[in-house]
Amino acid sequence: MLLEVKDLVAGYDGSRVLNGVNLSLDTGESVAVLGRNGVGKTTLMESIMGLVRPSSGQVLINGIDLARKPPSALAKAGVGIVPQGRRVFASLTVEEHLLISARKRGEWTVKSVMELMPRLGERRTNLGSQLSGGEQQMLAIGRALVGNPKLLVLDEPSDGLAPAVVGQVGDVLTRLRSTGLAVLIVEQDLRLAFDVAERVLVMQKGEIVHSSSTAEFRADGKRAHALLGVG
Amino acid sequence: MSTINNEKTTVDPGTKTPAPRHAVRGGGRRRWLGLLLAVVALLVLASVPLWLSPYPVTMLSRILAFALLVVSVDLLTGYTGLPTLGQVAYFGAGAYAAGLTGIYLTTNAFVQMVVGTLVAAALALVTGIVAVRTKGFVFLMVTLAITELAHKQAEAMALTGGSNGLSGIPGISILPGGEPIALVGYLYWWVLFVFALGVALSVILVRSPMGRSMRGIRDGEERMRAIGRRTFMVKLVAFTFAGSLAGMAGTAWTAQARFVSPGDMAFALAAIALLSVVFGGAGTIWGPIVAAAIVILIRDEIGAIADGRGGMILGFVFVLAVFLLPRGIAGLSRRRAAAVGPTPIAGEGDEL
Repeated sequence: MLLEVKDLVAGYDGSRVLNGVNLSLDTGESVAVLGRNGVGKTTLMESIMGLVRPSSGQVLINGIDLARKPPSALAKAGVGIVPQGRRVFASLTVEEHLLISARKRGEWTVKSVMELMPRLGERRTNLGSQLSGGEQQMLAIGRALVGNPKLLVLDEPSDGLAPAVVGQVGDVLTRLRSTGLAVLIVEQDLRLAFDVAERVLVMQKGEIVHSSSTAEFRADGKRAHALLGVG
Repeated sequence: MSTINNEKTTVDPGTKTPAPRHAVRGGGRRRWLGLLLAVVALLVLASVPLWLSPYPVTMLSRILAFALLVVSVDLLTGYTGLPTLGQVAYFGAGAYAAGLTGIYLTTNAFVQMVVGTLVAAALALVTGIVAVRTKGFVFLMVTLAITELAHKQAEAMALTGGSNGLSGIPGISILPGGEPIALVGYLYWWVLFVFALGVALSVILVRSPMGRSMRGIRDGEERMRAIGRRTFMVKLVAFTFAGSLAGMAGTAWTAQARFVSPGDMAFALAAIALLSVVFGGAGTIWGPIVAAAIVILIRDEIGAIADGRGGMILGFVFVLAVFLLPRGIAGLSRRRAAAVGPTPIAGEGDEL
């Protein structure tokens, strides 16, 4: 198993947000974590990314527990992170972003990322602060890709983007999925989540309460409505 | 991957902000223009002893040595997001080491420069191991403590002449076994050589992959860690390089003054060096150099005319600069301002 989260308990300043989350993701699999606001999706992602220190539980990458390790340990273990809000480097150019992030030899290089997202090639010499939201999101994905990860973790990639741009981000992620890259995505935009993921997990009150294939979830409108208030 | 290459996705993220032609970093034409301007500036500076009297030439020597110290502050403050008050400790260490080498070992300027730079580098490496584990305000305080410790140590040690300072330093010589240089113009050319070498090395550093990592840390250290970079090592290398550069500046100071005092590694000098970086434009090389020249001119020359009120005038200038030049002198260059926007002095915090 590429990623296994076992009995993860985490929170902030004494308040408990995650109440023993369990999930797993295999090589090449793509999974979306859904849920209403405040159920603990971002805390789950931040715990996996090493930004929140869990009080108990494990985050295993290829069987090695990285639950209390810094984000750099995740990167070395093959996890590419696309954080919420993009967080590009304001004073580095697009090309510098990719060069600084390219660490391992592999399929993804600066050139191949620019072939995947030609807009980044056109903006090669522009600074991160000069890019539109959509371009910054592409850059955040490209920055994670050139580290040649085995697993791409995305926290709300549609956040703050126009619907047309969200569709383009979805195009890229769908194509990445077809390359065999494992994807774990937390997303409020259900269309994007359904396009990208083959399996859906739903969170409520800090726990995973539902797991099914995306097709199964979409077919059962009543359940989707009960779990998410939509459908 | 092959699927992607074959299908050649064309993703247009629907931008409504076309890339401004001027807002491009590292353009070939801009780089050549910058190089041309640097060469012209160097030639003009080199010609100064041919048409100026000895007094302004000596003053220019002091400006060049101080400007190199300011560049070393800028490497940490402007490029790495580590505001520092500690560079004068390494400046003083380099100055004392060069002076002691001159008194006890050799008058050869190259040897003095190498010894002073290496002593400063060693000191920066040792203190940097502790200092770069901190950031922001704590880093500023740690570097201030380094300056205060070095200052007190210089005052207490007999080897450095205590509070009287180190005097009796012989003039430098250029050739092995050669005569000490007596002419102000030749001394100035040596200081200019050290300055040009230090600035050239700094430019090479900030344009290298190491410089990219320094700017990445300034923009967001946690983000750098998240992409797998060892930020501690990058910061330690930057700190050691900046310390070496300050030491190199110190050797140039000793070469022209032939005297080193504990005041050369005191808080007052550290403060005006840091303010010169802010005044000049943190994160650029040429801005702080111009600011350093203005600061020394106001403090030493205009201050002398105004009954020693140089410090007060300097204070007014700094306050005005904060309001009128929020991006410093370098922000006056419209291209740079458009391309970079305000340069953060400290990182944006711990967020990813």
